[in-house]
Amino acid sequence: MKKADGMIVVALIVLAAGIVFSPLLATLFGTGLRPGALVEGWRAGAGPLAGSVEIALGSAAVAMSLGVPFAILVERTRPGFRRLLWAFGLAVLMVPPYIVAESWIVLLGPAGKISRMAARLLGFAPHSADPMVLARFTVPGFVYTRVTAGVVMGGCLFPIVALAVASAFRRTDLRVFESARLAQGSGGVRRVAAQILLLPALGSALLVFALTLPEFAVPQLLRLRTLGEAVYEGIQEGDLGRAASLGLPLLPLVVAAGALGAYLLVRARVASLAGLEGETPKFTDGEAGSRSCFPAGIVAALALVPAFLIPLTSLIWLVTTAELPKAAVAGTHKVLRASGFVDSLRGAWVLAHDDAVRTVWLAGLTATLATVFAIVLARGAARRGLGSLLGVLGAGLAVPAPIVGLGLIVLWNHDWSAAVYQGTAMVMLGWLARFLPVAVLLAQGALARVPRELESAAALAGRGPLGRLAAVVLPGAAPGLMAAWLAMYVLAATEFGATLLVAPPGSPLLAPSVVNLMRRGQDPEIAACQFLLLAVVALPLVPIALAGVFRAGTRPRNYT
Amino acid sequence: MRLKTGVGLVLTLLLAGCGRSEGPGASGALSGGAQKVVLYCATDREIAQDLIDQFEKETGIRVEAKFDTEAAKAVGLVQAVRQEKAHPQCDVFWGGGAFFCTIMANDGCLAPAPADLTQAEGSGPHDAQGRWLGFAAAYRVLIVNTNVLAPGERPHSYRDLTDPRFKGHIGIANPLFGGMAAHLAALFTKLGENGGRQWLAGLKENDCAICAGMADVKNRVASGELWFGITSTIDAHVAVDGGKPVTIIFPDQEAGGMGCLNGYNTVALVAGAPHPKEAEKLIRFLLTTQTERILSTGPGQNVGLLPQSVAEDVRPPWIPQGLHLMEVDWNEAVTAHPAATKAVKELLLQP
Repeated sequence: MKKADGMIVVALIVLAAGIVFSPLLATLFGTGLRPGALVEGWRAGAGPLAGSVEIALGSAAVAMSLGVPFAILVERTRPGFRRLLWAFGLAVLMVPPYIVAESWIVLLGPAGKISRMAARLLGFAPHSADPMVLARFTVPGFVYTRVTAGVVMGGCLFPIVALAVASAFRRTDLRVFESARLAQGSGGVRRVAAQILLLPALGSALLVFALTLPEFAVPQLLRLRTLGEAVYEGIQEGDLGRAASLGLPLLPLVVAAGALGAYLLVRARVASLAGLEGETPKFTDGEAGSRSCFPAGIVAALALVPAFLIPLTSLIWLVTTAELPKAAVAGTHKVLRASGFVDSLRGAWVLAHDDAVRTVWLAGLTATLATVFAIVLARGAARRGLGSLLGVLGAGLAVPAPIVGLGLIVLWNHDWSAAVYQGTAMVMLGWLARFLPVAVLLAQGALARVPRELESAAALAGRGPLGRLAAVVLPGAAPGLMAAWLAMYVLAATEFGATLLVAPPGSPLLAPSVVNLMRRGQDPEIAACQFLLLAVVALPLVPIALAGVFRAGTRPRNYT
Repeated sequence: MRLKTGVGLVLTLLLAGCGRSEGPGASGALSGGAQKVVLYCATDREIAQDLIDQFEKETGIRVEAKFDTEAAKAVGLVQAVRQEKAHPQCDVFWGGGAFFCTIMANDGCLAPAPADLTQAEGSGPHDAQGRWLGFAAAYRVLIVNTNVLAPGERPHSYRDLTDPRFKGHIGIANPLFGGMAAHLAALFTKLGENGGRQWLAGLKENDCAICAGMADVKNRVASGELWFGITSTIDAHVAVDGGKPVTIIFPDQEAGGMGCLNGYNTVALVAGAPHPKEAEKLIRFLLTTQTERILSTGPGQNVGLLPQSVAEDVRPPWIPQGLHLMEVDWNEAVTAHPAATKAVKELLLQP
């Protein structure tokens, strides 16, 4: 019986690996990989790879710098304020990085609205009455650098670090801190806190590193050469085998970073019955929660600057300062020649509302399937001691989006598979190939954080494996599993690199449509398109957020 | 029990949701067993959707369209058609320009259009075998910020991007991808490989910004970050229409000059198209003066190229008559493309 279970788990792992890696393998071997293409590709990709690694390292550092203080300070505030700050923090994950990068250029670029104004206020602008001299003044650019790309990506992904640190913090028996304080004062508390929180912080930062490595859109907008660009070149030249091979150096890097990150996250479990059940003594008195609101608010505001406040400011600026078109052009679908933000939004909605509805349900369904599959996979693998094997799936994150799309075409465009190829299932396969590893890694972490003592107790009480899963494990891991669902949903809903290749004709999805519409847009129309995408991505999350805000506390958090 | 219900629900959702879609714009009259045609459209949706709606209304044939994005470079629909060659899904390919259509035609992805359509093109641009047909012109122009360059200082040629006066203030779309790749290949045929390489070296020397696309060039010039750059009339018109401080210059118009590049629309019948009759109807619909008239007054701001449109002078009023256009043999341009790409990597993209 146990042997049969083990076989099922192995089969599930193979299935997951097939979903994630089959497009890459199909592109590598189904398109006539030339001998020597690997060496050729790797040689040509060395420079761009260095660029990708540098940006990813910056991104991980920024995500850690923002995420750790955010988590520590926000977790120590009053429950209502804490939920509000977390809502803003998680909202960052919903802003597509390419929109963030564009807003950085608009506000902080050489001719940025803020950078120019700041330079003038600080006296760096030329002292001249000649309007042409003034117009020619630009601020020496820091936006078009790898540092900025790192800040943008780190700013977008810092909630991952914050979630990991907060999760460790919540499950820590706070008597540990009290003991440390009694023994060595506040210095002792800091040392203990560092030991407890460093591992999840490092682990999640490595995940951020892995997620940033294959990024293409942000570096491209910031005029930085990365491996993603080299892959696109290979595809444009019609050499798909070489293009796919260019992505291969990323795989071990991502596996190493992802596996180390997952290992650290699992090792970082400092949970106990007391920590879970709220039997923790007061760490500070009740007033401390109120006093900590101010620093938490400041730190949260700072953390939100790169990927939330800057895009929001840019959006508002575009809406309020745009000039209306002089003469409207003809056409029913003149979305991008409408008269201002509201009309543009209406026009974009008329053209793309079917895309929006389709995106919401398809991304929701994909996220649900991925999360369920990830739970089964992670639990089965953990019970059979095969958990570390799942780390290999992380390599899927390094496969560039167009390789996934083209690989799926190679795999599925046959007579025998026409029904699949011509349906929206192809889009789901594309999203799963790209993001299933995220769901699996998050689910694995969430399940690992449920203490085994609880499950053992349920077993002693006579519950079978499924009963224990439903009654003990899933409720205990619910926040982490919800995070896995959310991550999968947001990533899928905003993906366009593979989506536009595999979406069936006549069934466009919102992200490619919005990117298409934004191309020709004037300021109010660009703002409308960005708003539409953000609103649609965030819409299904509103009930979840509301449920969180109004949820009666199931565990007393008396240390706040 | 609850588990079974959940599994049942998921399966129902899957079956309901993952079947073949009827398309977003499919009205009741058009859905069901109606005829259909699959269109891969590299032309922007904003420009194309009006004509698609009109075609559906006139013929009752449902159009299942798939659109591209500039952010995906040329890795979108052109590559999809090439990968689907063994089992074509697409009937009609609209957009991409002569360069990419020539590549697809040479790959065997495109089929000749009916002979009468090719003949009806007259002096309009088309493939000799009718594998792609050109219509509705858009030009590669210089977009210039009027706040930073006085009329007398403004550039008038693609070559002016290498003028040291403008060092650090010029931009082009990444010439490895999309329309700018086609433009560079065309320049290599006009200037020769050495001339093309010199031009690229001049761009490097002049700190030319490599932007994410032609729309990005337009945005950076409109903001004043760049003084001028190469973009299309479609993008440039967006900036002018939006009240940005820019002007449009049609380059190389002097006698004997190389001329302004014409990046016209193309439409092609895909080889092995699953719905050839409907495809032919759509191509016939697109290659009409009525279509060019709609495109010239819509967001595309295109100029009519079909014989009757030329006779009727179908054009937006702001685009001058009698433009001196670059003559390009697109087969030669496709041949020159590898050398151009190599030169870009060696001369322009090296740190």
